[in-house]
Amino acid sequence: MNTPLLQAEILRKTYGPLVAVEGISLELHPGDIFGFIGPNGAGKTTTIKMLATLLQPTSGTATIDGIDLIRYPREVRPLIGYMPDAFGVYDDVKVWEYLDFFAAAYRQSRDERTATVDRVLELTDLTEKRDAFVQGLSRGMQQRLCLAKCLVHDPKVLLLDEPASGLDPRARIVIKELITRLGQMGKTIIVSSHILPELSDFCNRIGIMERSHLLISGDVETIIRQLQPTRQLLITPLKGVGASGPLREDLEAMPQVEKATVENGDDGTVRVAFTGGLSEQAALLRTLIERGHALCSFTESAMDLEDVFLRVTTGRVN
Amino acid sequence: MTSTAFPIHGRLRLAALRQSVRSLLFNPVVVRDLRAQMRGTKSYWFQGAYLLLLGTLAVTGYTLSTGQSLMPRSEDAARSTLSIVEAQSQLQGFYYFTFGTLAALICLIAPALTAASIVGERQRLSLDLLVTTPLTAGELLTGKLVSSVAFLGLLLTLSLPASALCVLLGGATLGDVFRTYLLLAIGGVTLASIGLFFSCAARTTLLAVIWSYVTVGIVVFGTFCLFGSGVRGGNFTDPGAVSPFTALLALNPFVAILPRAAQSVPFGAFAVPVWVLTAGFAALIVRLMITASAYRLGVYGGSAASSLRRQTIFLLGLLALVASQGMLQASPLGDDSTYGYGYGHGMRLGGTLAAALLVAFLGMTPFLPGLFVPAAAPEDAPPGGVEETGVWETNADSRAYRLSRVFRPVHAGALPLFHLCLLAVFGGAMTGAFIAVRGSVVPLERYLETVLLLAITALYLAGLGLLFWQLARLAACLVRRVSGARALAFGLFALLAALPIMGLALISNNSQNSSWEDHILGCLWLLRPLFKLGQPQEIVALMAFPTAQAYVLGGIVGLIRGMLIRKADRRAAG
Repeated sequence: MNTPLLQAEILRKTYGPLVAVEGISLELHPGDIFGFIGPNGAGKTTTIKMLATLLQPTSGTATIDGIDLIRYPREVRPLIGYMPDAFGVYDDVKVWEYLDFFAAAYRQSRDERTATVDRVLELTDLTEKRDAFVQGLSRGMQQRLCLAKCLVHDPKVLLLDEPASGLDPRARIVIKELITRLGQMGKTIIVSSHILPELSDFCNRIGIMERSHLLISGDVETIIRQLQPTRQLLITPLKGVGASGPLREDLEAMPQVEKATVENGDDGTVRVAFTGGLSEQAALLRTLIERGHALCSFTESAMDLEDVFLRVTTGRVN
Repeated sequence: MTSTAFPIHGRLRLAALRQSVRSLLFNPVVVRDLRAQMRGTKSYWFQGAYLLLLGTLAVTGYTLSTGQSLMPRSEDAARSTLSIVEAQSQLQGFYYFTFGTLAALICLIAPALTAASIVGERQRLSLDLLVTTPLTAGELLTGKLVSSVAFLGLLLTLSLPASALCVLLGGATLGDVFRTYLLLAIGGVTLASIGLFFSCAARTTLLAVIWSYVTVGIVVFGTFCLFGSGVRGGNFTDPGAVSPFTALLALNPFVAILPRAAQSVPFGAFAVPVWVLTAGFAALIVRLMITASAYRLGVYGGSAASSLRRQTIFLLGLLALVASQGMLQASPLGDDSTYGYGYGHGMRLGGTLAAALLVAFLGMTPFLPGLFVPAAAPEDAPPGGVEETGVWETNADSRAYRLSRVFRPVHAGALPLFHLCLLAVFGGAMTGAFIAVRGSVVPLERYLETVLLLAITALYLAGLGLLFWQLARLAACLVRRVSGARALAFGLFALLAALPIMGLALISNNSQNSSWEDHILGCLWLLRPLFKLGQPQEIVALMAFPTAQAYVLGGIVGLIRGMLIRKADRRAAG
């Protein structure tokens, strides 16, 4: 089918005896937004820096748009936009001058640069700050400016290392929207974060990293299906804990119910591991009501990114 | 087919040229830096203060050198009738004061301007943003240098009113002033490039500034001493002889202001002004410093390492050529009685050159462990291996000496590089000596004496290099950390150089009437020739034993290392 835009195979980085990243393999296509999750010190930044041609991998290969980035880093650099987790801005430089400088570094002519600066300022909603000094911008605006800097040369791949760290909730939402929009524009984006809810909204692929290993990576749905082959239903009887015993017994006798357990708590909710599809789920509800169970809630418990993370890293964190 | 080969080659050359012009004139780093530097009122305040300082210094200098105060009392004025000669010498004194001050300012300001540039970006966490752009390391560093130099140019221009006084009052001609300004600017760029290198090498701005000042101090003081020494083509007193060596020394701002820098170097029928040669040397040195900076910056994907090695070898050879020519002119050939050694002047010249070579080796000794220690542990080597990345090399690599790797930063190329450097210096020195004696009445045997002496010195240094290299490899077997291995190699070398003979030397010296100096030198048998400079008649006798000792010790260390590795292999297999 379509060829991957970014491909990494067994990428490894060591510093003497210390292993920073152990054999990472990735494959991303245009439009993919890859969420890189892991605690601080897991090796996310090292991986992103290797892909950004800042660190030479100890071993392994990586290509971007078919170009080997270890062998031809200079040819790869125009294809990537890199935003580090911490970055400094120059004093006494205006916003448009800052962007103009980077556009010039990407060898754009004077006319091209004027158009580029206007385009990226509009995209990142900074047009009104065009003549402001960079050091006077708020943290959120500086993050957006750095993102604007990444976009001056219209790269195919964006490597964003903790783009929302240290931002207030409103600025976070703005950055998230911006990243989503960039994904819709067909860019391949790698976003790292140690905060899960940040990524769950807009990533279609995730990778979980822990202690220099990439524990799992792929589509969010595929990963959830892998980790949770059965669907989890939560059924709450109207009469609370008293009614949950008979309900559980009834449920266990039914087909396609693997297991039913009473959850801790006062409401007597029963958690059901169910192997059937949606129509079987409807039939189950009907049968329960026909048997006289008074239910006040019947919902499917969807596994979110946080559950995935906890499930994947259980036992490895400590 | 052949007809198209030329245009393509030409186009490539043109593209490279366009690239260099672009990096000099249309460099975005320069535009950005100058914008930030010149913005706001602070630059005007700075320029005002600078002008005020220069004005004060000029007035003070005038008062000091002419003995006339700005507001003379009537009796002083009555006595102040001077002869033209006195007035001329006083005004020359004023010229030296003014330009000496400028030279000092350049030595103080030029390294500081660049010393903060790259380390500042690193500390501000903005360097990564620059590195991921298509800007090459060379463009980035050239940009930083040009923006600093532009500021230096501004400071020089601002000083014109003070130096114009010299022309107005008659201490110097307009030509003198322009030429001196040109040389000062060239010297300033060279010193700024030293600052740029330390800006890439140091971890903090403070360290970069300190290292830059220390190095600039050594360079300026050292070249000034060389200029003042008996090296003909350099010294103050003999106005007749100017050699390319003078032009090299004129990179020092304090030398640049002296009248010798205004002369021309004879090249057969032609006479080339000193400043032209100085500019040529400066271009080579600045390029070397920029390449060295790019290497230290550590952005991968460039060819800084091999370029640095090529340039180093070329510059070493050129330096030896230029220096030996200057030195040979210094010895008045055919007059044995001046020196009274009873040896020929060829011997004396050989002794001086050998001494220079030994001093150069002493200077590079601290860097040798870094050059010779294998850079990476075996398990770090990528599957592609050494050929692919050019950085990795296994410690147990049996082909540890490979001439084909001489331009790559790998262990196998380290000793060949050292040998090639020695060869370049030897070849350069002999060529320089040959150029200088050609046409004069030097007997051939004197030239051969020089060749012999220099060859023995080179052999001795090659032996020390071999020993150092073997020790570094041994240290890398024993200590995994590269920094630890370097320290161990250095320590082992110091021990081997000092220890084995120490006891013997003390015993033998105690029985005789010997000075403390002999005790100390006795302890450093292997390095003895390094400290016995300037006595050419002793050099052969001094070097014979330590040279043999170095080769034998090197062989023994190599055997020990081989045994250790075989033992480790057997343990791994068992």
